[in-house]
Amino acid sequence: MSERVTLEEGAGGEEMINLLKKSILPYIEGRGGEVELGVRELDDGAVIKVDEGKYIIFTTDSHVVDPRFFPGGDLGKLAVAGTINDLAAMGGDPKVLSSGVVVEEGFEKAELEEISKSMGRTAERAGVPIVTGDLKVVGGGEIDGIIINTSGFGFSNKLTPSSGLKPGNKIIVSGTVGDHGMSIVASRENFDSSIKSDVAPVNDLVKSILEGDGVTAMKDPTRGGLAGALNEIASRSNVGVKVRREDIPVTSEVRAAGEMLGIDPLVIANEGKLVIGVEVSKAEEVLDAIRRHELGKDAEIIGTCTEDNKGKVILETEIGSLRLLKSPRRKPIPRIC
Amino acid sequence: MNFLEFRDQTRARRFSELIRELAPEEDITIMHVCGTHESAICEYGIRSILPDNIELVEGPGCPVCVTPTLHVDEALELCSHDDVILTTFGDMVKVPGSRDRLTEEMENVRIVYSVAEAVDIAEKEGKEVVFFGVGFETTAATYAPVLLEGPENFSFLGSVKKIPPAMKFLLENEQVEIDGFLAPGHVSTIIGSRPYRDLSQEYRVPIIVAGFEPLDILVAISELLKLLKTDGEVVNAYRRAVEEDGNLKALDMIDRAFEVEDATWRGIGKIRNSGLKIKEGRLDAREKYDLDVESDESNVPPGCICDEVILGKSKPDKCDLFKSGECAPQNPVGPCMVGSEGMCNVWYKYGGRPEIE
Repeated sequence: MSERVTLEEGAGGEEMINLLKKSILPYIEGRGGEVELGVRELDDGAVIKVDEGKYIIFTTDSHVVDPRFFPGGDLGKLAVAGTINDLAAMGGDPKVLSSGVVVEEGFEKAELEEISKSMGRTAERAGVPIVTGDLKVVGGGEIDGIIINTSGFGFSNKLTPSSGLKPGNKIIVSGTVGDHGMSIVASRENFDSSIKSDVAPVNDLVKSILEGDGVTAMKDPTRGGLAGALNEIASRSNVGVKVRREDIPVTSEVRAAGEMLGIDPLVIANEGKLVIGVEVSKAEEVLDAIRRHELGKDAEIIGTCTEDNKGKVILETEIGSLRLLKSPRRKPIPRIC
Repeated sequence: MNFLEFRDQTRARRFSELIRELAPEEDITIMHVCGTHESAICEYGIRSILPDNIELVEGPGCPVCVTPTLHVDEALELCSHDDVILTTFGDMVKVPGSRDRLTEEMENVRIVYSVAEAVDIAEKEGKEVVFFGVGFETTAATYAPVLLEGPENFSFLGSVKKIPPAMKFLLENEQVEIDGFLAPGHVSTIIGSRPYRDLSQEYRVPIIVAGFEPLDILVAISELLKLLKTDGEVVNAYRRAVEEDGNLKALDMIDRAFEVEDATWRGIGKIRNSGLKIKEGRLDAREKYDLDVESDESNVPPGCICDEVILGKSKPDKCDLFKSGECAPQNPVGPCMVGSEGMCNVWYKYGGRPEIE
């Protein structure tokens, strides 16, 4: 039997990187003198240099989610926020978006309109207009409902790539983690809960973070959750990261649902959060700036970057013991973002 | 019940200090026999706060991992019947048989979350449905009512085992050194703490019934250390869930649905009276399909040390396939990596005894 793509390979973990490196990247990669970060770096977006200290950030993301309407959001909001957040996490100020919709024959128009309205509303509120688009209709059953791709670009004069952490840096998370993933799982399991997805564009939050100095790296902890994001920035920056479980904000609802469903809030997606690396001398200042923003009021300093344990994330558990916090691998929760 | 009280840092510190005080000079090995214990031990980094001379090993605590190749071969044989839908837990897919393994892509294989879901399929679709069921006493209790009343077009390919006979086998085995057991909390909710008493006295080892929160485990380890020099004793350290006599209703159902037989455990071999065989011939897939499969139990994938891991003689990080990443959950070589309760799988997820600088 010839090898087939598996769901695990789409979960954002090591398997996905392997698939990209084997079957896609070597064939598509292009590089020019202006490309500072390209597909090879597997960061949230590409960085193209336009002038000394001036960059264009460019990214694209396809969105599917089941269910398409969930507490706190829907596919439309997710598709717009997802791309804005990828740009913002790179230190970009998102300017415009595109919308590519693939929908199957038989899809209800009323639902399509609801999703489109939500896209428009989210883009308008974030101040990032959708300026071009495309539509394809495929036969019934060829896809499951609808897929929305959004691309976008923004400008940056302060890059925050995930490789920017330095030993001694503090790690901040901009709010509670696990809300999006848990709200999706809870609504799929018909689990009665008040958990709402955190899906929201964070570009305005990033603007206020970058007004000050000291930020070295940023990452939006989507697929793979906080654990995935921390591992990614630890390994790209070649530093160790040590975090304390007790300092990581998780709402009591998410925590309780996680206990019941056997899902660790640290390994599931967030759609309106940032993990931020900051120089120790500026940590409190940046934390205050984040907390002043509506989307950052629950922000906390959760850990420190270390010289040792390079590329690893160490978790100090509630009982004071230590363990590795690894990226989630097997059994991804499919079609979550 | 608030689970946070079982993760209280001050109390955890106190118990880990107590464990250090009680720890003997010599090396000791504590075996548990439960995948959920291994997960909790790894998730809460319990090994990082134990003295270096206390080893915690998993033993044969993962039902998927100890399922013999014969039973996988039988399931594969059933798949060759076009009219049969073979249902099983997700973890049973990929478990190596003697030549082949079940895969999700097979047309008549369906993954279910419970035996009830399998019965549902039988009732709704009217086709012949076989449930390939593995597990210990805990799972046997969920199978029993179905086996007593399942529909005609439903049958059961069982690989159900009892934990205490395996513990006895390991205590008798001279190659395995065990100074005490943490008895499995979930199994014990069904069988109670009583069945461990004879074992404990006969082999003079402490057996502590343990829960799954970090404090449960620390308390159980400290209780075990207190009893090291004694003639063996059973302590129920999971009283909020386990009674001495177990769950009488569940035990009665298991008794009516199953009879005891000798069973083969992968990596170990035949253990006397350690299997539960379906009593009611009506729903026994082996009888219904007249299964007569020959299987080679000694067929171990090259380089795989799962047999030693299952016996508690070695650990995943001693395995070259584990270290090189050749054996991983997405591409498991041995059964301890396939089963999510297997020690290799759990260590892959959490990093085992962490190498923290």
